[in-house]
Amino acid sequence: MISQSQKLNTKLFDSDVELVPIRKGFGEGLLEAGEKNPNVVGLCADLTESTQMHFFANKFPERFVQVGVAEQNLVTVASGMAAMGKIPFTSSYAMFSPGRNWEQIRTTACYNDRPVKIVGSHAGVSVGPDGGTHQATEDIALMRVLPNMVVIAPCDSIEAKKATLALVDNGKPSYLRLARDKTPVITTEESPFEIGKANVLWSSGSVAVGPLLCSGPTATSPRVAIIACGSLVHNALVAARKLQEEGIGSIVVNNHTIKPLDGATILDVAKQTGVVVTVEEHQIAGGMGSTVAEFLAQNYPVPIEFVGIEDRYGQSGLPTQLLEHYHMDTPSIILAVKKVLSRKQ
Amino acid sequence: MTKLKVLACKPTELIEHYGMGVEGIVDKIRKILVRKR
Repeated sequence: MISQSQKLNTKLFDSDVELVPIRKGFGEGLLEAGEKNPNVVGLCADLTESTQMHFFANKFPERFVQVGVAEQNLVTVASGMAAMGKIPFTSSYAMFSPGRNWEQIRTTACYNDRPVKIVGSHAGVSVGPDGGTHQATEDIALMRVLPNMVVIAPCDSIEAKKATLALVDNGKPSYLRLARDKTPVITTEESPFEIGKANVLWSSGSVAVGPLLCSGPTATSPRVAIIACGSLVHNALVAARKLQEEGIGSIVVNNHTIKPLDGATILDVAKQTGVVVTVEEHQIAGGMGSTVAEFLAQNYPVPIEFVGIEDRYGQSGLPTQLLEHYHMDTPSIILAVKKVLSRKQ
Repeated sequence: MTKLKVLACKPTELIEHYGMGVEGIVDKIRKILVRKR
């Protein structure tokens, strides 16, 4: 059942649920951040409208730098501005930033612990027809390995806006991962969001999960924890509802902050269920699931199945076709749940 | 973790400092054996 304390969109499971690109929330958040804080500056590598930075650029032209197709300069200039007290947000396609300029992010931003915000849009295979060269499926791994870096993959446009505003004040180099395609709006303005705090969105039965109390029928207690991030959180919720109909209870965690990981919540749901499925639109190697696995291996080892891309590149196609092809759609999550449950005995 | 004394450390000092020396490995083995009980 949906956690009441999360104040989610009541049309979440309806066929006419509102669809909004996650990146739009970043554009709106940056504009608001710019209005609130004069130190916020924007830098872009020739993809201003695609990454939704044009709202900010149009309103604050004196605080916007168009560096052109030069992603290495994008981050290096931003790091210099951060060293002088600015709060720079840089944006491009994730394939180009952080895909192309990893060394500059490492050395100028992270090594010096400068609060440069790397915003990577069009991440994952749901970029669609642009094809494998433009589908960043390795970016979480590239970013989470860097010391000092914060990594966030919001589940919808509203959460992306909240994350953008929160990043203004976190004082750390940070990576914000955004998707291109329109995806269902899961949360509302009232839904809680805090960097480093995962949210339990669904829990079968009536079970206390940390400080949250989830309400609903108690017939099916949770037997598996589904830990998801980004746009696939919606698929995870749909899978949880279908599993509930089959008599399989679950917990769904929106693990929007991949680094620093909310170990307390991960530990809590792992202890409750004894098995975990992770869901992300990213390579399985080095992604959010790997973060969870590393943590649980050291603290509470349980069987884990990983829903993600299995060591392959993307290709051109419709987002829905690609999610199905790479086994990241709802039926694939259900399959992974049944597989991990079979390992439970 | 050992404390580094000079800026230009020897590789062995760095390996030890970051917990990857023999002592670090032994510490991890002791820790995981405690968890095994």
